Amino acid sequence: MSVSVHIHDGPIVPPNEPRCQCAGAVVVFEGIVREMESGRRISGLHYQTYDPMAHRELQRLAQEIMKQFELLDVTVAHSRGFVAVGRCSLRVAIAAMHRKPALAAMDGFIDALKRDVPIWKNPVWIADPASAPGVQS
Amino acid sequence: MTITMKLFGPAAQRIGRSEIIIHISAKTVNCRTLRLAMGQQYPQLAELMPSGRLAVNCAYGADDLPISEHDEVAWIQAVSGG
Repeated sequence: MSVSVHIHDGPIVPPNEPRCQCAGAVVVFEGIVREMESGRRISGLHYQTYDPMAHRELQRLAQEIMKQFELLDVTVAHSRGFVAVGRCSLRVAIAAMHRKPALAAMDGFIDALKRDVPIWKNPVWIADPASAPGVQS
Repeated sequence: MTITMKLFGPAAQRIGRSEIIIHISAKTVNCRTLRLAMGQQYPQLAELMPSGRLAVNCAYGADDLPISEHDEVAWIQAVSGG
């Protein structure tokens, strides 16, 4: 059983990770940067992290779900800095013996991450009057 | 006592810098008294405070957690990772 947490500069590239042979389920979540924020077009998101605490909180949350759901493996990677539209900024892979605990753990982990981990995103706007709120094209 | 507090995200944008200094005359300080002093000395942060938490040495601090000048203190405004 293991927990692995990484914070990377830029987008997350999916690893070619080995599978634990005792896992009956591996659930992978990838958070992707959408092209629109608040009705306006963006070129990407800039992620600011409070690094030592973000890493510590990710580790703590991963260990909590590992214990709570009796998981086999949790791997987390989150971006810092700029991530362009369409690229991945968060990747979580959870391995468990069975499907239900893996799915439940993923849902709980993402909720906790968005509540507790000190990471902030700022949209990088594209200057496009047609994409401003209230403007119809 | 003088506490240096790190700011991030919306709180840093509101103040225009990434650290603030808080002066407290009391000999002992905890998270509760630091929050009160922060709201009094930086009223522009007061409306953000209900959605933020104090972190001391990279962990969220309970109200009664003592704080010294040597601790790393940060204001964690509502986060938005993922």
